[in-house]
Amino acid sequence: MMNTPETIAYLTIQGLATGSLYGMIALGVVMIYKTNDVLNFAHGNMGLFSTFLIYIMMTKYTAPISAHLYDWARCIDILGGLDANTFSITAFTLIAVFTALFAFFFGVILEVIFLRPAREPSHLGLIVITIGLWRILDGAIIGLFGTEVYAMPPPLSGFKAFKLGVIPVDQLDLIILSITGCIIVVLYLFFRFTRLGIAMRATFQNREAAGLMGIGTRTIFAVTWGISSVLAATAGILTATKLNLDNTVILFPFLKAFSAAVLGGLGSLPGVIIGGWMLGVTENLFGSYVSMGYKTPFAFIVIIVVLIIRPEGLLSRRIKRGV
Amino acid sequence: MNSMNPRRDYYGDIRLIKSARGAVCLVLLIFILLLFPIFAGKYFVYVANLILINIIVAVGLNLLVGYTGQISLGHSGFMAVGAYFSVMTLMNLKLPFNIGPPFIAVVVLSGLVASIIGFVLGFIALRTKGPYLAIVTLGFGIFVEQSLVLTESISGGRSGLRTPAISLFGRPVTDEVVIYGQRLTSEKQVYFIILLAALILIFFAFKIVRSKVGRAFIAVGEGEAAAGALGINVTRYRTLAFAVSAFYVGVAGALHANMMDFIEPAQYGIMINIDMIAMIVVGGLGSIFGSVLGASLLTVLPLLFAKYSFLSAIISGAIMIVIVIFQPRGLSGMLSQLVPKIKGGRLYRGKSP
Repeated sequence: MMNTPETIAYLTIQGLATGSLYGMIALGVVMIYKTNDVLNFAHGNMGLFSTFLIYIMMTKYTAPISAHLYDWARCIDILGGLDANTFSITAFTLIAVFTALFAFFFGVILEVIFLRPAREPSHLGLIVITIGLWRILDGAIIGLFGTEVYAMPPPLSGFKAFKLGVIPVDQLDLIILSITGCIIVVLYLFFRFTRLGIAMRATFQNREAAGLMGIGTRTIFAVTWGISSVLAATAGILTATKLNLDNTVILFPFLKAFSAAVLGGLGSLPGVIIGGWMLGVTENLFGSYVSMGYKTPFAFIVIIVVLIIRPEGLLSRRIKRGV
Repeated sequence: MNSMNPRRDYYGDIRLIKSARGAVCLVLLIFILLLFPIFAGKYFVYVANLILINIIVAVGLNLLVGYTGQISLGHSGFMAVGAYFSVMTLMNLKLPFNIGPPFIAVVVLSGLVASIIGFVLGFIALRTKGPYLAIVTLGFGIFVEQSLVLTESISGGRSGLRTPAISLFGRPVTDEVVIYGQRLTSEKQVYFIILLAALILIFFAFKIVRSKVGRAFIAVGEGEAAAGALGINVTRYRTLAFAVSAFYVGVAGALHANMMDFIEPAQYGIMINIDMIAMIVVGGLGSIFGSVLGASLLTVLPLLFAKYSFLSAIISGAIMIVIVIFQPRGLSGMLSQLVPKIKGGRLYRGKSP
């Protein structure tokens, strides 16, 4: 391993990209934690389910959909200079939009069916519900899609490395970073300026008070699960693009993201992204310069040590809880 | 938990066997368990062994999660410690006069090693609670598993370790023994060891729960601040609960490892913890009898669906959710509501305690 500034920059960008994936998953975990007061252990598999869906649709329907679009465009004579390749991109976009919609309603349905019926839930009880959900989704994924390893089809494959000035970068890492950037901007605007976003922030802060102010907190719960599920699906798809798709690909990224969320303190949403980046970069530098094998144990040791020193997480304010 | 028992005084309450009928039932049950391998085939004895080991795990974990209210997602780590420590000791330790280390002593020792690690983990995780504690213990479990993968020169890494045959009284269990005309194969001999361990540990758990220590555990579980205000040393009992439950799981790990021919880190992955939590939740948090039920049910379930392992995951997950939503006290809670109904018909309302 060369110890030049270029390599360090390369590793940092790589770490930031991985960290963005952690951050994306963790963001959903924290949003759910803020509404339902529970760590959602099923989060990784929620995303993985949508990832499998998009994989199946891309392998089966990309060609037919793009062929249809092509015919249709030729019929109404708007073909112009477009070729078949453009239409497969369009087909992919349609499939991606459909997957996002599916992921949203998947999250909503899970909340309504599994979390909502729990009356007077205890903290442990809610955790156990999400653990049960984790098992169900795990079983469902193995039952429906098996345990084989799949490579994502194009356009989610065949990414190249190139040089940005003197720094070598992977195309995929840049794509991940830009998607993360978009998500951050969109979520910021959503939470800052829309009625629903403001209502959600109010619910995050205090459920009862928000309810008394006339906010339909049940809807907010469902929407939160929907958005988290979309985030998890995005992270799942990008992870599968990076590492190939199988039924366990999300496990360690999810556990690390989960821990990054707790590391950030389950408090502020921007803190979660920063926590994810910190974990991703530290882990990547450690993996490259110290020991590749000990990368994962190292990440968890860091998390344990941080939590021992600051039991409420790194970035959250210390809150004295009453009895 | 058991509100149907008449609670007349303290000593009546802490007594383990409350009536002559209870004593008779207990003796009968132990008698049946002892005779079981004579009638059962090889496979059923193997299943019984698995059930008994999972019962030990569930009872131990329940002391921590159910009674003391501390969640742990890292008990796979303790199981791995018990397993690897016992196997490596049995393989490598040479005592004078060329005798191997006695098996039962090694099992107890592995439990103690696990409990020391549990004590340390409990101590360093003292300030964390709830989700933070879940993550710390989860990190511990992952750390142990990954370390076993990475320390290939010592632990065999991913390819695992062959476990030596258990030897009892200087004679391996693979030799058949004949007692009163009964031939005992190795599974059946192992069954008696595991049964002994399970009975002792269950008895011990009942004793703990009814002692001062157990009551402190329950008080800590109900509310740490309140327990502290009552003069209970929360620090001491939280770490103690970690140590005790790690001992149980360590012993179970040692027994399980030596029952199998082969151990590998993948057996002690994160998903094992989910199984363990499932057992105690399905059985009933804060009920030792419930742990026995939950462990039995969730051990048999995957074996019934051996061909479609994903089905057992779906079913057990669904059972977990249904139980939390409709019957938070689990199977044992369900039974304790059912029994008086069967006994007294619809008019029976139960004695007020």
